[in-house]
Amino acid sequence: MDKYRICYCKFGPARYISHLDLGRALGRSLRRAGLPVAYSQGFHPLPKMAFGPPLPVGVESEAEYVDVAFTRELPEAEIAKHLNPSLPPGLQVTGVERLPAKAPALTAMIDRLSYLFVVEVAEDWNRRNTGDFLRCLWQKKELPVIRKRQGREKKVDVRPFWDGYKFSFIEQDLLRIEIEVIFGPQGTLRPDEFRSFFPSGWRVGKVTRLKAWSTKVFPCGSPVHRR
Amino acid sequence: MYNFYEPFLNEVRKPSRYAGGELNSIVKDWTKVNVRVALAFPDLYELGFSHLGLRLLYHRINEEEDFLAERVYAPAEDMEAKLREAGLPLFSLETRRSLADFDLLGFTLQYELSYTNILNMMDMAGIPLRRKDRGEDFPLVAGGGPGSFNPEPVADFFDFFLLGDGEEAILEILKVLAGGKAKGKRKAEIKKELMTIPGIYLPEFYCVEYFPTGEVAAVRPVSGAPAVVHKRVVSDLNRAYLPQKEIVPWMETVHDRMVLEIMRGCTRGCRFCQAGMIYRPVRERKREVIEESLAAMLKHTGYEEVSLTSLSSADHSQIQELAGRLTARYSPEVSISLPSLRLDAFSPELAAQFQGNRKATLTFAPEAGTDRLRRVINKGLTHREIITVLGTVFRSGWQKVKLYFMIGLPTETQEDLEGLVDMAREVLQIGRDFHRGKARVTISASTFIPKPHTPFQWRPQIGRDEILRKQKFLRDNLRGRGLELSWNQANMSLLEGVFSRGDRRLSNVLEEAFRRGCRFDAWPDRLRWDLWQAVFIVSGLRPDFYTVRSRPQEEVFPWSHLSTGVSTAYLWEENCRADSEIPTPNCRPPGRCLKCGVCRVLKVTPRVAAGGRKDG
Repeated sequence: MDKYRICYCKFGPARYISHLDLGRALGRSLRRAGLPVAYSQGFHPLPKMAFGPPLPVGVESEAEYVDVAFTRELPEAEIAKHLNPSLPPGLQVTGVERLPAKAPALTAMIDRLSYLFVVEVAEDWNRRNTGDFLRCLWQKKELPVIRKRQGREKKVDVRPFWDGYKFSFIEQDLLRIEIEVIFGPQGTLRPDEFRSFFPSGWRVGKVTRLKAWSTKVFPCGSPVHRR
Repeated sequence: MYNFYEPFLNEVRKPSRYAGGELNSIVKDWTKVNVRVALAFPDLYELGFSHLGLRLLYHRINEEEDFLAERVYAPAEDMEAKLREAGLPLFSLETRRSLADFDLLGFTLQYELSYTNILNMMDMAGIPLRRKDRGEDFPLVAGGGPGSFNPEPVADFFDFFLLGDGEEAILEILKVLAGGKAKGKRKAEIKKELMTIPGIYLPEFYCVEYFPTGEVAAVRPVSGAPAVVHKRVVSDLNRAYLPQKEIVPWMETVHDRMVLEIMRGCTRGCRFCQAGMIYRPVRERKREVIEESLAAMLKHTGYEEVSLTSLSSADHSQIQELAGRLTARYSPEVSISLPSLRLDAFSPELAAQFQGNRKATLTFAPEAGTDRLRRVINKGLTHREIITVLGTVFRSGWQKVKLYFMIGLPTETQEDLEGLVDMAREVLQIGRDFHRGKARVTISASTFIPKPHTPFQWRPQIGRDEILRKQKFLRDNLRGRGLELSWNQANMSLLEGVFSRGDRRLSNVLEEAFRRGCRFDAWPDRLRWDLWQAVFIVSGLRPDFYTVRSRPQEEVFPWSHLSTGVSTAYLWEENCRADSEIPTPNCRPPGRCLKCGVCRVLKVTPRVAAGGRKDG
């Protein structure tokens, strides 16, 4: 069995697919492409796939990863060539890499993510007061959000997961904010949680995951984006 | 693409319901086509998506260079609130245009309890609900599907209905619309032309008169409309259009698999079954056609499961051969399934081929609890046959079975209910003999609702008290480990009964219920019986008139001018045979035509794939 790491982007209507539905969509795309996917055993065979960190519904991404097992070795370029025309609109393969046998799982590897917010703001927002606002947010000891799980509400401090930011103005009323967040078993900061701290007048147009990478060093295995 | 909907998509639940852009969906340039059609399913995306008829029409229309079809489903509560608050119209998935921008807005009438959603969808696009209030600028509103065989409760909201098979008639309709648009014709002129297309029913050309007691006295055609509208039939499914590049949804839909229709119509003649009457005669697709289409469909969709659908798939004359060949070719990556199995067509080999070796639940429909009642409804199955088959099922390894029953069938007595209970317990006992505590029997007991164009159209439906009493009896007696019972809300069955055999006077009730907030009446948690009750009181119409009333032979039904081809005389005779418990045989074998009238009236013949045609 041969494992490959596929890097793809998700945009347009595809950004509304949930993480769960994505597995099915990709499975069907691999079938349409006629690629020799390896299936799990049992009554209900499923393609052997393992995804990276889940992408929230509605968020676009330029850096999604999935590891797929095939029954035989294939040239990396062949996979992209066959898979791309079979993908639904809004999904596109940007890279394929063969994995060594003992490559660590994506979710174990990836520990940083970055997101881009494109925000429409009123004219009275400029470099200075925007900078002040974000610095003030950054200096907070705690950033509490309410998370709902199984009908119960729970207060979570997401400040520890915020790792950095930068911003610039694309136009006078169009702001670009890029943040880095920590992803791991302890948790993460979700983009919808981050935007909940924005002033009420800011209108978020688009949210995009720009990168996913690992700060750890692995003896083997394919590094995803190195910084 | 109108992007001002984009912010809403981020704020509603399951945005892929509205996002569009699914694989194989078709987006056409509005400036390059003549006629634009919105195909609407009046329920949520995940339910409506699986509907075969609309999918077929969608692709058929889009095959034509001059026409386009887009889709729309009922918005969920959260989306409705957002759109209404923002003052934005309900939009199509493909180009996000208001439904009001289309030339034709077509709804499928799959179940009566979706009617308030139809009104809501029109209202959300700013389209006046009543036909008479819609000027030249609004689309023509059309209906199809089983509901169009008695569309009277919604007749005042629609411009026309198509009775029967749509894949051929739709193009004839659109050609008339295209011609009308090119010449700048008014709606009235276009409708006159539509009237000449067989299968088209334009309710405004029929004047309904009532007796003071509420029954229909007469339905009079005016302005040269035909006295009776006969349904459309596609005579040969082997040559009929079958889409091969079907849309693959983003989200998980209710039947998340590819569906291939292998046969239309059914020859069994169960007396309660509307589908069995209105889709006659039987027309099978040949094995070669099925295999070829299936290969193409799988290539374009990548589905992991295919359902070979029809009213009674195990009756297809080539099913064994088909099962063998498909399993050999596609197993195990693609599983092939049948929607349900008939007890008398069951074999463990067939079931194993179709269910794979997944010992999931097998579903059967004995329908009634005793041999006597099964003779009444013409479900020719004996207790012994049922028990024998279920013995085979459990012996072959299945641990779970689901049995469908109805309560409130004509002539039902306490004995029949006891028979149902005894059968459920006996089946469970057999299951235990093979699988001990792992055996499961699920009983679904839904309330029988007499449907138009069936032998039981004259029969009363049981009232609320009787429904509740019978449900309680089953609940009390079907308790315990390994047994599970499900049933329908009594109010829901009553409401369905009212609209199923309803007349035009009900349009006021529907509109008022919609205005007061009724939506998604088929959803147990959404049905607002309190609102419906209040509306009925104000309207002066009594639900009982439509449900529990027994109709005399000479009754003029609200649908008497609409014909499935099956003669009323045949239906009445079947109704009488029910009382005498006389079985009516399957009309599939050659030379066994029962003269129901459909082949003679509609000039068609049954088509069986193996063994050639039957005599009509």
